[in-house]
Amino acid sequence: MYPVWEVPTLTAGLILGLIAAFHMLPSHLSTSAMWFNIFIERKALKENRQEFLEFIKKYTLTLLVFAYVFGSLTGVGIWFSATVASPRGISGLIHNYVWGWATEWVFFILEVLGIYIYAYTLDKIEPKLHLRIGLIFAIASWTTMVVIVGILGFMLSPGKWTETGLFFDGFFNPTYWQQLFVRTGFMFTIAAAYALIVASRVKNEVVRRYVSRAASFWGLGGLLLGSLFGLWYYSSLPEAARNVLQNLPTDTLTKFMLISIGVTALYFILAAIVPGKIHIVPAILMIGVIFMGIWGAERTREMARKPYVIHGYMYSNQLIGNSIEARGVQEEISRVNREGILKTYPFLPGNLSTITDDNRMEAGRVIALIECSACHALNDRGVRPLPKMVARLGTEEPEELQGMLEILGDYPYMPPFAGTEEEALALATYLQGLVPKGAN
Amino acid sequence: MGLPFYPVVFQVLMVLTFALHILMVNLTLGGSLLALYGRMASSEKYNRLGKALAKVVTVSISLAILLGVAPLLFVQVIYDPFWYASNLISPFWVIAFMFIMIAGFSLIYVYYLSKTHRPWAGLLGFLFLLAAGIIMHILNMQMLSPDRWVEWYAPGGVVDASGMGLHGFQLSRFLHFILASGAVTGLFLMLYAWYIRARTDVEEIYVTWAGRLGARLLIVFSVLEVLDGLWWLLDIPGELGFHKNVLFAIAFVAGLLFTVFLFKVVRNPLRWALPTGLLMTVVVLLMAATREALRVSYLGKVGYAITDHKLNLHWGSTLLFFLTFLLGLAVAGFLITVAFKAGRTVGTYSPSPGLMKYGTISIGLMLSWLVVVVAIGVYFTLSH
Repeated sequence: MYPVWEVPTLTAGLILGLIAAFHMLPSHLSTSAMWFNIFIERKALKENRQEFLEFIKKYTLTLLVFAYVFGSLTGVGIWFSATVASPRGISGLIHNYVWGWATEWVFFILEVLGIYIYAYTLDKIEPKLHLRIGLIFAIASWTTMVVIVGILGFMLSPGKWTETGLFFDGFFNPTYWQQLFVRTGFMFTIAAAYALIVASRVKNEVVRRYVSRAASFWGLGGLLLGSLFGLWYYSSLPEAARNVLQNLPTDTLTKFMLISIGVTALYFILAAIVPGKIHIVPAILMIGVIFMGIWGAERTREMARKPYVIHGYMYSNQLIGNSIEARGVQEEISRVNREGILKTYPFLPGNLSTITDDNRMEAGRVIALIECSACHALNDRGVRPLPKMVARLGTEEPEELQGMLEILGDYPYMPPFAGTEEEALALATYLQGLVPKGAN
Repeated sequence: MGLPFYPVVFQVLMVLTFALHILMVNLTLGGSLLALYGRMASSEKYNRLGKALAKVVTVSISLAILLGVAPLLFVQVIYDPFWYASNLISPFWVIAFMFIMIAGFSLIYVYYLSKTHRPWAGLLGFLFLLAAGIIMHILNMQMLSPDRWVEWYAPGGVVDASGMGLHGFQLSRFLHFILASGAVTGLFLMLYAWYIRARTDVEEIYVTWAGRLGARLLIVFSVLEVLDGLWWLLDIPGELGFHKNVLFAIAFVAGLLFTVFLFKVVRNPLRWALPTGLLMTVVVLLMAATREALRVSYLGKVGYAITDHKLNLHWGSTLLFFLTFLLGLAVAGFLITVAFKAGRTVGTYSPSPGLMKYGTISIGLMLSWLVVVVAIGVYFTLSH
């Protein structure tokens, strides 16, 4: 185990969630935009219509700056925030999928070289050659999605990997294709939305109208395909994950998704009916509407994951709940129950190695940091705040709460408490202490 | 969980990719400062160079970020306990790093794209990027001091989970990475001069001047690097006996010889541009290897070796990467060839049929990769 980062109200995990959800915009723009761009570029070449270059230049610059400044850095940001929110989690992924990430990286190289060379040779090299570069970029970028989805899907539905511990068993897991198709569908929605923003800045009216029409068709197509595949994805979720979703408050998130899809669909229809008339401000606001849908989907999926970060292996609090015999990894809960969580924690200050009346509260706090803070705010506000949740239980004394801790694992979305009885009391003492006396 | 391949392979890849990463970092830092200086100078040659460098820096940052991914991935494979412990002492700064980089990169773009000269954007951008480098340096230093971790995480015996810790900054070491920026930028100028000389719309006088400026920067900062390197050596804990390390000795001698060689280069920079580039790459690789040897030394004190990791050999994924990497090199070769030739052409560049064919083959290779991987995927999905 490692030191813990307590982020009041938000939790370290939500920092990851915010960065990751934002990243969906530039990353899915990158994987789709160039297909739209070379579609336009090919038309311009075939029909010898230089005026389309105005759109292509501006769209390319948008892609370059948004995806390769904000996209690349938030992608790294996901990695960094996963490192500090769940070091053992990311370590588990890297020890399995280092070559997967390295493979994805090869295509990152082609993306970065491709986008800069495409952008800087625009209108400076023979158009047929330029299209080749665009196509190479487009293929490379989508291929990064082909690779990363294997690792992402593995976390939620490792499938046969839990038996074999093998790379390809985990990579081509039970939700792999579904997730790949969902993202491939929806990515065109994002390409289209950004195309409409850029189109609003194009001076040539013919180009503006054409691009708006094309974008609205691509966008609607993306929405339709993404939604259909989304239903397929949902139906393929492991039963445990769907069960968890039924036990957690997902209604608002579902509404976000439905409203987002609905409003975006209407927007594209409008863009088709009155092409070239959409002003940049509403076009930009639509990104917010799309983000609403992304947020709903991402948060729902994060709920579906509970209580695991790697399903059937590692809990969200980084404790290993299941053995993976094929990789020689043993579950930890039984050992920790015997020996104690504090004894197995390498970053324990010496004064907590034995729990006494004087340090019980502090020992409890450290245990809460290790076992609870991954998903719960320890202060009174924000993400599943423990003070509020404990208050709702109505307990008055730590000993009452201790009993509650023993059956924690009975909730489908909770890991079991891991530790000795003494530690359970310490945790209960701390948690009860979060509720002001007489609050009940 | 173990490792899917031999730890030494990850170590070698880590060192190789770190060398490439730091070269781009150096070009970014040196290039942005020189761009600023150039555009504020009264000389027309300096202005022109400054404008060119402002554009170059937008690309070199992207490459620095891209090439930073690989060494970090490999660090997390073979040095994971140390890297994570260090990161979890300073998690706030780990996240801040991303925002600082976004700010820095955005400002560099503002600087490059502005129609009027905005030196504040360039300077602020540079400072943000430097700050990001400081955070990386501190994370690396903290990694090397496991004996202090509990003290840092729980000062006075009380766990501090606020994540604001920043411990361990070594100026002599940090400067060694930063001063190199002057040298790498100097080398870049020499290569830039060599490259654009082939263009018909570039004057010889500008090219010669740029090459000379580059060579002078290279030699001045190389000398500074040698001196700072000695200072760093004195800063390394004596009990490591690092001055006796074989790799250090080789790298030190190589660095010295290279610096001496530069006295010859400075007399005819354009003629020596390519060989200097090659030799400097070798020197930087040796430096990167020595840096790793130093880490092995530090961590050896606490009884850690990368071979402590269990080996769960997996040829399938290992081959997947290496074969994909070869494909990547082939396709990158096409892209770079186009850029190289187009950049030397005045007017519209028209490729030879051979080059167009190379492009078609590149696309074919990428589609074949997808077909093969999808086939493997379908096989595994059906067999489950």
